[in-house]
Amino acid sequence: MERYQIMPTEAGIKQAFVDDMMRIARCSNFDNTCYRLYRKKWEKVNHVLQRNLMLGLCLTFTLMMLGCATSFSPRPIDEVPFKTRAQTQIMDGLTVTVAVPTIEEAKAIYGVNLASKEMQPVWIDVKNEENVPYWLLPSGLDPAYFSASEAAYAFRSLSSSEITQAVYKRFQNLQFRNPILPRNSATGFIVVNRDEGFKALDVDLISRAKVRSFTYIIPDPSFKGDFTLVDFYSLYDNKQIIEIKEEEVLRSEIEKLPCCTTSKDGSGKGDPLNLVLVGDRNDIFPAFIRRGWHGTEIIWSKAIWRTLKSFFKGSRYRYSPVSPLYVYGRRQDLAAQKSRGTIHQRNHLRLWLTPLRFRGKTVWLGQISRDIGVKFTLKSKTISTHVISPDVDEARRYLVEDLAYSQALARIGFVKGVGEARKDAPRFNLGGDPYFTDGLRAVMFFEPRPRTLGELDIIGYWEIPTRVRTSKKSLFDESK
Amino acid sequence: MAPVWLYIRIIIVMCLVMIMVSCASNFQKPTPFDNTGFRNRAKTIAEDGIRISATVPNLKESRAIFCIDLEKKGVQPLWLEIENNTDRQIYFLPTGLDPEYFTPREISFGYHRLFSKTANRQIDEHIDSLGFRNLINPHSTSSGFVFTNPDEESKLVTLDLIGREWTKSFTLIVPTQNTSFTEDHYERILRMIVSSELIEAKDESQLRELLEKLPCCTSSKDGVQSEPLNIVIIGKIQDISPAFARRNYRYTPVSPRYVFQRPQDISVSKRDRWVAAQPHVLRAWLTKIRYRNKPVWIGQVSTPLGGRFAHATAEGNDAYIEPFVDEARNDLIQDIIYSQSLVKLGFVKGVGRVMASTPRKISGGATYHTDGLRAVLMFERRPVSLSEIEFLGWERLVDHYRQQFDGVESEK
Repeated sequence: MERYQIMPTEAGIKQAFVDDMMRIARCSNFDNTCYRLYRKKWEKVNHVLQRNLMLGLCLTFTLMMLGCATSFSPRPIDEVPFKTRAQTQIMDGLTVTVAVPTIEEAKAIYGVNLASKEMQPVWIDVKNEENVPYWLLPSGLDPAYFSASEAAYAFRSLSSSEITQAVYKRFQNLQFRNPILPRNSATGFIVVNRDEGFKALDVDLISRAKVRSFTYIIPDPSFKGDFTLVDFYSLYDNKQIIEIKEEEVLRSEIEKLPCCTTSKDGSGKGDPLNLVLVGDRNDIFPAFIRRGWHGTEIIWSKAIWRTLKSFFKGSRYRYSPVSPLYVYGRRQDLAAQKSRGTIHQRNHLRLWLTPLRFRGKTVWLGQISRDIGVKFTLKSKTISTHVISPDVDEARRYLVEDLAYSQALARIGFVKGVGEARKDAPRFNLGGDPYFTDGLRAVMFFEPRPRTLGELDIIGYWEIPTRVRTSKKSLFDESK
Repeated sequence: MAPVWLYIRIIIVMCLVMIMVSCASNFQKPTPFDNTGFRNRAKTIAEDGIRISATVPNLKESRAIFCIDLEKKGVQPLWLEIENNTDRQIYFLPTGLDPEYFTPREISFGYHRLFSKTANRQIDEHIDSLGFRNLINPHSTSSGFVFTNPDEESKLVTLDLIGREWTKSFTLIVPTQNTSFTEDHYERILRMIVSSELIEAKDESQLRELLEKLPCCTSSKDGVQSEPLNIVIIGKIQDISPAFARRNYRYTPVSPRYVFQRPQDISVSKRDRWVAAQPHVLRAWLTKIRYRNKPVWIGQVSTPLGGRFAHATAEGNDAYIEPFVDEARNDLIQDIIYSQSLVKLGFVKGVGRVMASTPRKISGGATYHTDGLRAVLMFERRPVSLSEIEFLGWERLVDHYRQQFDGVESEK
């Protein structure tokens, strides 16, 4: 093994990492010593990198102090062209327009880099042609949004109180202000936590008389999500689309859908496809985002790099990629995940659009599993892969429960899927992880929100999920 | 080699040996033990044919049951028993109890060891068998453990049960190992005011009068006036707590403020692990007022200066608040609106208007300005959708805002 040299640039380190992966792949058997050697080396790189990062931070900080102390010069909003991407929706007397500036645009508008503190502004314009005042609920956009004073505090100048005042004033002036008076309009920004990929926004307007709910999905052109590879409109032509009116027909069509994911060439039986989502795109995906799910980046070099960093630090990279699985001969149309503390633990799901349409609504087929740890593998280009929890039904159950709180889940039922796999005779996915299941798939129907828990309908005359059989009895059964 | 390094090496080797021979590597399923102890401690609630018992085993019991040290990994097991004497199938939503609960397999995987396949399988099976079995059939009982994130003091257990187009929520207060109160904290609060002292508000207009007469502000221990009391909460603790829990508010100890000559009865703030949660702090005191048998609480909500961007000071000084206190109040309202439990919302006069140009100084040297109103939030247990929330026609925030922003404009 040649002596390792740390290359000074990030691109160089990336290249070295890719080289090492190739070397590991060339090892005859994936033995532990081989891996340990490389891991040690990459830990060292990470260490050096962090030191460099600290140095860089110090430098940036000094520069910032110098820069801030002399100037704070936000540009007028109208000079920043983010409104060209605005989306407008109209409901009776309310016209709501929403736009999300990019990082650079936000920097120009606010005069400071909100993204450096993981913040992002959302621009909202509401025209109220009705007779009652309306209130916008920012908690719908993001329950952890930032008030103007709090966000401004992050950018106060330590050396100049004039600049601090200017920053506060800028944030206050840009802030969206409630209420929206009758025959009037209100315009402004709400500062929320930064999301990459796409921003799903719930705009709820409340008045004495009623509630108006709007939902937007606004893409970020710089994000490489799985979904950006798919042209949903050209996936199926009109001849392939199967329109379904009757519930029982839907049930039998769902039972006929593929049982499992496959490898790229369509062979093999991988993870069980245990989810079906029925609804409009604008009802389904915001429901996930409301519960803290995020899109994932496809595996490209930058994403690998960030995943690697989060692996060593155990930190969260909310958008770290999931590996591709195949159904209908194509990789997932969309992947989403909910990270839980560290990269080692996350729930992730993959979805494929099916040719089925139920009463005009799209039907998606999906797979969900819960990651409980990381193992190393040669089956993936990225050498590491997640160990899934063998109790796949639990992940499915978790999703149903989680979405029950999303305000958009209307009905839930279960139909036959992959078929039962008992605990004492588990099946294996393509990664070699065992799983057991009652063999059913959960079918979730989404409707426009808001809906309460009490309105959730469970289709009782379809299948009923059972606990997977096991030979062991519980502690308490024995003690009785 | 320096002897100190030698000792360290010896210690490391010994530790390794100890790990090898410890519980996990040659996992033995424990013999069934007498679990009546902690089950007898269980708190129980019964209503409409559903009985729920819950308890948290102490450290010793927990080790005997699981044979692994769950506390070390930050897991608090909650034992739960649900008896269903109704004709419907019931499903329990653990997400409502703890949005980040752990699953049995996730926990057991954390205790897996290399080269001990059998032990790993045994530990999987053991933890699995202890998990709560969801889906409670008509006229049957289900019991087991739910693996939650730890609560230091009493654990507020909020259970959302759903069935076909049906839902019911229960709240239990379960003491934990660290509960320091000799009697239960929450029960103590509810017994604090004797019934002869209670003032029953007959109707909404009388309620409004009574609320406006409540003290204007908190004070520090030495009696110096502090933050304005800007929120009123009406509802039973069993109805309020699930509402706050659903929005991720949890009991959080904070420095004392005084109203009615006593420190706050309860203090909460938000918790979230995905992104930093809003930093507001709510302190609340139970009042003598009752409205339709529901207790009335007076509270103060504010944000520590700098919020999530403040540098944590060594002494945890929270004397400095964000001067515009209404922001915290409005954020709280807008959040709780989504709790599915808020039925009525209104405003009454409170401390009175304080302009930003002439802020009021309070104990500790902080300042504040406000529109002077206090929000009134009324809770019920049934699920309430956004569109069902009723507005009390009292003070109109709209008018106050119009004035205030006119004021701000003219100040420029």
